Amino acid sequence: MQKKPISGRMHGAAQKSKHELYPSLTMWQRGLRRLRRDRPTMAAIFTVLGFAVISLLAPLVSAALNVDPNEIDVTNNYAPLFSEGHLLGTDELGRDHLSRLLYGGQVSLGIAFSAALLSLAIGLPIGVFAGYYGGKLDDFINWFIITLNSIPFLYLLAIISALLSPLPLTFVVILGTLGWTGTTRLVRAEAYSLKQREFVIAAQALGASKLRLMFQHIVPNIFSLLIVSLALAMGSLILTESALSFIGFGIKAPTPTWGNMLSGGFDYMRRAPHLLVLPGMLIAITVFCFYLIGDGLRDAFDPKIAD
Amino acid sequence: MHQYIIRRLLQGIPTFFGITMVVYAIILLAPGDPIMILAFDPTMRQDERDRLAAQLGVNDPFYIQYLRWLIGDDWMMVDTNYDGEVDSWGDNYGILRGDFGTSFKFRGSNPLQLIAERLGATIELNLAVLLTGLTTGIGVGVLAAVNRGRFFDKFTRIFAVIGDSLPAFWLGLMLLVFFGITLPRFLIDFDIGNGSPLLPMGGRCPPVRGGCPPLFARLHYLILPTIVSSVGVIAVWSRLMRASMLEIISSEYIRTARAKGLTDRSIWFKHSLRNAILPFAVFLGPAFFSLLGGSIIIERIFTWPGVGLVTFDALVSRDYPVLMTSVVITSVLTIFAYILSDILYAAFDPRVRF
Repeated sequence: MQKKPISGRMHGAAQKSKHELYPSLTMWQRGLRRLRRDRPTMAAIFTVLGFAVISLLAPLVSAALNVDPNEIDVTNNYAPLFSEGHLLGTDELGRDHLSRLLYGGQVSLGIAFSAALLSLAIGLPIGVFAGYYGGKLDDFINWFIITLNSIPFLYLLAIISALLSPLPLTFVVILGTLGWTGTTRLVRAEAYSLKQREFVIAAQALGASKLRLMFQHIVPNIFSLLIVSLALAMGSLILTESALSFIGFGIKAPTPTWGNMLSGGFDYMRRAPHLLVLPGMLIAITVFCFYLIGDGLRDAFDPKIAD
Repeated sequence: MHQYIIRRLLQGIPTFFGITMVVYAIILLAPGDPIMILAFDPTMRQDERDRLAAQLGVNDPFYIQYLRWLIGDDWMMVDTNYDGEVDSWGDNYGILRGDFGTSFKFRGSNPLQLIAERLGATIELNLAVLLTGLTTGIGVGVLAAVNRGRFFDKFTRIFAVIGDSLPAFWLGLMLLVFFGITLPRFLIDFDIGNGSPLLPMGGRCPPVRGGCPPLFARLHYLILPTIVSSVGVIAVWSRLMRASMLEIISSEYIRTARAKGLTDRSIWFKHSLRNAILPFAVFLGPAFFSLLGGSIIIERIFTWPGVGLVTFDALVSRDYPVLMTSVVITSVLTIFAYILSDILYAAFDPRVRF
């Protein structure tokens, strides 16, 4: 190991001011630093990212293994794990299970991600406006949210998707337009309390416009909360998708999703248990990871917890 | 207090109308021709079609249709024989007066009655789940807080996260397979018994043999669905309870209690527990509500003859009157659950003023 000359190190330290030696961290820097030290959360993040990347690479992986997710080969159905040409076996129609899982991951993760993002995009502005302006607008939005929340969510979802029998994209829109109320409630309460804080009043005194106050001063302070709720929402959306698939109102075959592969797997569980076990495991692991990530992010970005 | 209850009940009214609007809008926007569903006759002549359309009033503007559904049409003249002129008073009373129309699937039967018959089963199941889930969840949460950082705490934390991330229907089907296939085979192989002890679920209230056995005689049917439904409740409540207990235990009056020389047991279970439970009165409404929503899954798995199963059947057969009735009724129940939990909270928390 090479040692630096002592004098040089002394010299360097002497030149740096105290401020440079211990630079003050912004909330984001501190949060990210804490996050990096939180091993379970980092493991969960990498697991989910890994699933996402492999799923996105599904066409390449399928091509490399020389399989096709939609190629039917009835003579070779229910092939077990590690059989020839099909690493994870085949399903009831002889389609390659691995590539279907990957394409299903694209759909399931994609739906969860885009629906969570969509409900954030709807819920955030509505919540900020309601919390900031209050009054009649707030009352109306509150009434609307209470109304939507009083109808059992799964009933509403099941009815709409049963009547429309949606494609993945429509499904995202349905989930997003029904799921924004939670975000709005969260944002509304935060915006209401933040608008009375000194820094917002100071900005107002300096002549900032209302839009600037809302989106430049209030929203950034809610952002860490929103990321947490995004992670938690993605976990529960994957579960919702699989539950809807189970009662038959989710995404329809032949488009594979983990949800409809899992509920389809029950019919063949005696002949080919891997059709049941693998999608179930993928769902459980992914949702588990999202919950870990949500918890970890909450701890990392909570200013009340000391390092 | 009375005033608060009345005000809270009055606040439910706009919500109720909001719900009816949402439900009606969904059905109105649904693709498909109600006449085709009702008549199911592709060879129907045009004039028959028109007559049926006039009877159902599907050609009227949507707000007239909504009003007719809501408050009935016995106050207006309608055209019954489709000659372009109104000729008699309508005969619908509207849902506000308890007339939910007639079921498409079971001709001539009243949807309200169909739902009411099944409501008992759903409430029975959900109360069992609430009771099991809350007592277990609170108990586990308190013990986890007492044993903070020790094995029990860590173990229940892992259990809670796993319980939260497993799809409920997966667990349900696994239990079903075990009790429906594996266990009976085992019992038959070893000549112990015949059939599974906890199944079939549909046998809870045999409609043919007449009458329902009393609750205690069919409690065993409740076991499997209750286990499946309560896992999620236990997972959530144990974590909430643990956090609440830990917050209370670090407050000043607990330190005072310690200084007085009270025993640990008395501090944890008398002074902390009561205050820690209080905030959860507010979760009672949402807990009941999420169970009602989930009942469509649980009842489908175990063929539990409740509202969820009726709703599912109505959805599959596009039986709109039954579907709308079921949504309206469950939503009204949900509103009441929310109101009840607010009132409970107000009643128990001395800090809430009316």
